[in-house]
Amino acid sequence: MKSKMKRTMSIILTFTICLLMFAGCGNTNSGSSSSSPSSESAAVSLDSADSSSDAGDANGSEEPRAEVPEPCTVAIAVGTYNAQTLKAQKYFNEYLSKELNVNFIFSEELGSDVSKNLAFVENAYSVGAQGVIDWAMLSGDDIIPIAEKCEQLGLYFSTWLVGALDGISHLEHVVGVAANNDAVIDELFGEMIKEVLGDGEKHNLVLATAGAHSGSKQQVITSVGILEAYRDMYGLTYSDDMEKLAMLDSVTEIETGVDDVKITIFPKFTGDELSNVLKNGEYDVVAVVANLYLRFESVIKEIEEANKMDIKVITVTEIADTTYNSFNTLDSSGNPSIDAALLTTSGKISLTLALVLNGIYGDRDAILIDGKPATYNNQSWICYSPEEYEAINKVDTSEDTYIYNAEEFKQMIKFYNEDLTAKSLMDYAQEYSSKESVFERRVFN
Amino acid sequence: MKNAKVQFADLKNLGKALCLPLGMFLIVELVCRISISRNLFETSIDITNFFKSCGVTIISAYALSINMSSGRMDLSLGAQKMVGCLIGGNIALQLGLGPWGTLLLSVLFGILAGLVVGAIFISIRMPAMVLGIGMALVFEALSVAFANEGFQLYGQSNMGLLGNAWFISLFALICMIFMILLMQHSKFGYHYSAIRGSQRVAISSGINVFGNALICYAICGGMISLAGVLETGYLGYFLPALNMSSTTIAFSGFVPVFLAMTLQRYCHLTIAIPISVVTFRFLSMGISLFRLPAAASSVITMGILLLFLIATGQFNRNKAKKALQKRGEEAAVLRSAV
Repeated sequence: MKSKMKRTMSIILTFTICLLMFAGCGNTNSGSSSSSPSSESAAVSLDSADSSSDAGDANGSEEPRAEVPEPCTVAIAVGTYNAQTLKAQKYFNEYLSKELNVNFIFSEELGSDVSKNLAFVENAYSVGAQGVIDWAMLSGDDIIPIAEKCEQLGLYFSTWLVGALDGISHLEHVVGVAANNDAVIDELFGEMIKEVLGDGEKHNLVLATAGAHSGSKQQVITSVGILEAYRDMYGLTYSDDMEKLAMLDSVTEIETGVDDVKITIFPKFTGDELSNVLKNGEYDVVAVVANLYLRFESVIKEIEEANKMDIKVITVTEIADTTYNSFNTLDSSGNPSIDAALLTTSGKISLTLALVLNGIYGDRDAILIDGKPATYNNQSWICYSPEEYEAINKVDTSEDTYIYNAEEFKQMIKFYNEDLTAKSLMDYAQEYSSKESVFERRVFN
Repeated sequence: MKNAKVQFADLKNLGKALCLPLGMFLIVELVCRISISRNLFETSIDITNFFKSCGVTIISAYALSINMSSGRMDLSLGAQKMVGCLIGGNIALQLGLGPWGTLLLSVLFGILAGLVVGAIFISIRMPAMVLGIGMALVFEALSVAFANEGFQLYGQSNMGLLGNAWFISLFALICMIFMILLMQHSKFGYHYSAIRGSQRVAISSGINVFGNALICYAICGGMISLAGVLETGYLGYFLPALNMSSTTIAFSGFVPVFLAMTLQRYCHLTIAIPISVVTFRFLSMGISLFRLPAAASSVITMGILLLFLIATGQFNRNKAKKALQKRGEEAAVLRSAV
């Protein structure tokens, strides 16, 4: 009886493992074999892209287009599944897929592993994807081999990685980068710092730089933005270049040139170590450049209670229930746990898709600037209060609250909007992703 | 009943083991005071953090050691913690069960997860490490599917108790007493020790090896989930993990367990674990005062562990050599007498 059960279990498990092997390793030869259906579909997309670029060169003398585009497949490499990417996955799969006739393939969580990203691109190609979107957690030059692999396989490629274009803009299948607007990050932080710390007092700052020390450009830019805002507010003189300071890899109190303003760079990720810096009660502001404050909020509350002080928290974060909880949890001074938040929205995620679809539909040329792919910016939002966040938390939860509904999204694709140019796309993305515009267009009740 | 001589030897050995954290504290304190003019404990926050961190790591280390020291490396332990906290904990929050209910439900789910892994292990006899990898992936996916935003106790009403230093220390103490009773004074513990010594001999002595393994897995699951809830209580948030990243979650106690296994020659593993956890906590507190980059901190911690292992190994080798020499001399005396 026992051995029979064991045998049955073994057979079931063997069968399952065999099925998994087929799923994981299937079609490995299709990349080289022109006769497989998947490579045919990829080849078709490549041909159509080439021919349509040629057509694009002829300045609109091409045949009239079909009303509905051919169905296509877009693969999305996901670095980590957090609230933002999960919401976006739902938006893509349950809403945009039907509206745009596009199939999506989402990767497993790829982290910052380049080889996993490359394997995903190859697998996506073998099952017929025509474009790849990168929402990975890669940094620096890691994006280059991924873009080159897409180029080699003829897959249109876009990413949300800030500064990615430096090494990949020469590639013919790169369609652009969708990112937060770096140019205004320091302005936004300046605004938040003035709003939160505008009492005329001097405030000492702990700047949690997250992954800036390992080269994450977004986090370097944000850290520099905060240092700039602090410099402007208190007339500080730093001993070194701000980018270098932002990239320090150990907890360091930097020179500010002013005795009564202290700034400590904190490139760590644990609450324990933050507690070491804050425990003496010298610092009353913590600024966090990535979505890390969840690891710190308990520690901060504990320090506030022990030292009977109010520590102001200014952070970059995403729209999620955890952020709602933080805005609605009062610290020992009766203030929300977060005093100001720079919220990253799904706007740039949608923009990555719009860029890739323009490529797949043969309109890459329309979104180039001086013949090169460009960076398209999305607006970040600022929030100061639980009341304000109450409405923001509903964004992207249903058709009524998506930042771009189907019709608005189509305006970013030349197939649907013949007048689309790189400039108009930039302006449109900037305008439509702003908080004011979304609140005007959507219903949050 | 042990005679007085044996009891004295036990106490002497325990004293030797206790010298380790004491020595570590004195060295680290001295180094910090001389080089950066700082003390290990400067504020009350340092003391509460010390108790919280040690309490949670002791419980995690117990959970890790039970299977590890009997040759079953369970890589799904972190994922069992996720099942306990993300599924059990979130269900408790949704039901409004309060801190005790959250604790209980998380531990129950952890035990359940442990039992599942244990049941599969004894049914198909797959290598524990391979099974652990598979189960980690399954549990991670289940936990994230259930609670993709993680498990947040920060801001939840009445949950402050779970992050209280004395509450965590009390649970660490309860776990310690439970482990001492279980491993040193129960039939299960005797069987466990016999299996650790030799599985084949244990089987031929009529011990139910697989039943013992199943219970081990269940205890590990329960304990790691308990550690998870208490840790979330003081950190505020349990971050979900996918793609095998859960394996690192449980291994915060790995280095202390490793050290505890080398301390077994002085005291039982259940006592050696808290001793080594406290030793490493002193070390890591000292290193963090120097504000070094993360990589440098790891190199120093692991370097010290390596030096300790080399020194212990050398000490054991010398002792064995001396014993062999002594036996040789005794044999020579006997031979000459014959």
